[in-house]
Amino acid sequence: MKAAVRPFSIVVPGQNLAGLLWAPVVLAYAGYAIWLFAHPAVLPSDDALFFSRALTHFEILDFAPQFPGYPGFVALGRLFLPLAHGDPVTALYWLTVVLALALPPLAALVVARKRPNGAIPAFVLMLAMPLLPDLALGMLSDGSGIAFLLLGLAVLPPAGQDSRLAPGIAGLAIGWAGCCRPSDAALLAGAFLPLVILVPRWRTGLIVGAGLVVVPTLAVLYALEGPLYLWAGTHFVAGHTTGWGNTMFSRTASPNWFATIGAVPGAWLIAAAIAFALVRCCTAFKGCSPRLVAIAGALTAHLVWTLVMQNPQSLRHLAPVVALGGLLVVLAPWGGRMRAAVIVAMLAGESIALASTLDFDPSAPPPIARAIAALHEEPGSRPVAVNSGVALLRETLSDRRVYDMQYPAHATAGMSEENATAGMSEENAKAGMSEEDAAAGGAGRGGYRLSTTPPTSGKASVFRGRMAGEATMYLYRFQP
Amino acid sequence: MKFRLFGALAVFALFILAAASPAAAYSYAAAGKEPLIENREALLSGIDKGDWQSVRKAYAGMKSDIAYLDANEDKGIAGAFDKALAAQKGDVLKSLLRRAYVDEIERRLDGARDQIDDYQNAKVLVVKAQKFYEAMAGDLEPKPRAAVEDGLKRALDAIGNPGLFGVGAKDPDPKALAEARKDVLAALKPSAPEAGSSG
Repeated sequence: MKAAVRPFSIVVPGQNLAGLLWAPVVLAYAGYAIWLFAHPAVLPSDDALFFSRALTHFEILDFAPQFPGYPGFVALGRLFLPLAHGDPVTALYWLTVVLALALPPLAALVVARKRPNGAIPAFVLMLAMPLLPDLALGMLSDGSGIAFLLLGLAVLPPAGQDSRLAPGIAGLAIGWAGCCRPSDAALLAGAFLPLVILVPRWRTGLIVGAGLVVVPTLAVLYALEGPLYLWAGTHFVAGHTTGWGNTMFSRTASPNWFATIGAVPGAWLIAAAIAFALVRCCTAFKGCSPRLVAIAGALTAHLVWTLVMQNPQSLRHLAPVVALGGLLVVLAPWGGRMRAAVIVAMLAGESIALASTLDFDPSAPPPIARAIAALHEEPGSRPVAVNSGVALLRETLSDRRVYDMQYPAHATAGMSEENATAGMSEENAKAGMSEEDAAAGGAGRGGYRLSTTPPTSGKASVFRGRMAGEATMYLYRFQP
Repeated sequence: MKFRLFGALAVFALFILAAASPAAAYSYAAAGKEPLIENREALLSGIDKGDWQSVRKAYAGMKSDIAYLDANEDKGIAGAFDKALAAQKGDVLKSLLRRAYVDEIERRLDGARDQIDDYQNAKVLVVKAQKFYEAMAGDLEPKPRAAVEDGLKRALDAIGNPGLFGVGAKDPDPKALAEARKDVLAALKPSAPEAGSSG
């Protein structure tokens, strides 16, 4: 006889063992939370800087934040402002850490609705996800899209039960996920459409719920920015697709996703487990619940979107794939032994990836902050050219020019000039002149290059990423 | 029943979009391409490599904008460009380009001042000034960089905001815009002392 399922139950009734198993899991979760909160609230990227600006002044055209605006995420961040005594950076940090920490319990809730004894594996697979630390400490919106999608999936009733309210709440949650992270449109559509198509009785609730959030949000954005919002969007999409985004359509050569994934030990084991579960869902489609089809649909749509349209240098874009992959592995329609084997394989892959990429020292600031500190200690005021973090450097480096390597010819031209002639004070130029420069006859010229790729020759200061998804940065002298 | 619900939702969406739409006229021409920014990489790369055919080709793409500046903002800039090109003086071309960018920033801020009662157009013009600043920001030392950024932010605030259905509306402030413009141009002047000589 099938056990009755209580809403949101994550403990199997009548099984004391499950309760016992939760104890170490909850302990590990608490330790993880303490470790995350022990990190300094320091901005790791330009996009994080733009979000922090938006918490006090929302103006998409002024990069507060970047297009498309992430209004839901910004609204959530503003809720944290009073707790952070008005400091937007701290508020942003708390928001992203809380959102990342919400993922394991939400994953457990999604699974518990269908398979209560899968709640612990789902929780553990999410907690061990190698990209979870980056979702927390990267201070970006990625965690919000996944969290509200999972919330939407969690509130849907299990097969055989019905609820008039639940589809509407699920629609609100998925709609809010879209408002938090519009760039997850493929992910959310991949989950939303199967639910709407496969379960007619949920259709109205889902659509009305999502519409009640999305339509007014779009209206507010349009009212605030007007037609300029569309103009900014066109420029952003064109620039992202063919320029700085390193997508399949970019003009410049870029690393591919296979190289990025292959660089993380254990990643292929995770990918194999997810692919296996996906194939199993396709071959045993009749045994899949609408919720499982929605998870598989979201994962597939997001994977295709990421491979085609996202930057292979940003591993974090694959976070939804790994997060939903964990759910898929637990919920896929296969026998107990096979399920256990695939869960163990995925967990092994995650453990290998975590162990080989994680810097356990919670006091370490992000690589770019360490590079900025190193530049502060440099006695001269030589200019620096960067391909990532140009806005952050311009905001924090109050002693030098900062060139954007998205315009390499401009950077080269600027750094070829005598530092004193481009507006730099003579004292600073003199201070930056080393004996080596004088001997080489290049006094006052050139500067530094801060890059996510190492120099082809010569020495560089290396600032390692603290976790998977956070790029290592290299700082070295640059003489055009 | 369902169709009625969807219909109501669609009408609600249209109503909100229509009501929220700013009433002021808006010229998409103002938000078009910027040849001075788009051709700069090719021009500078040509100078760096000594490839003067590429430099001339890149300059051809900018020429109409330089001619406009010469006629309306900075008399003599087009002749100076032609002379530097003929003499193949890369350093002079680089500094002329900076001068043209400062002219463009001044021109857009002047436009915003003249159209301050037309929120959308004024906003386009300040945002355009920001684009030119961002493109030349690498050449600026920290002090002028901070001053220009601050001035452009104040300029954006000064054009006001129609608000959402009137809620949160803020009137434009011509005096604040004039102050912001003055500070921006003062900070940029050392980078291009001859900019805007006829402006």
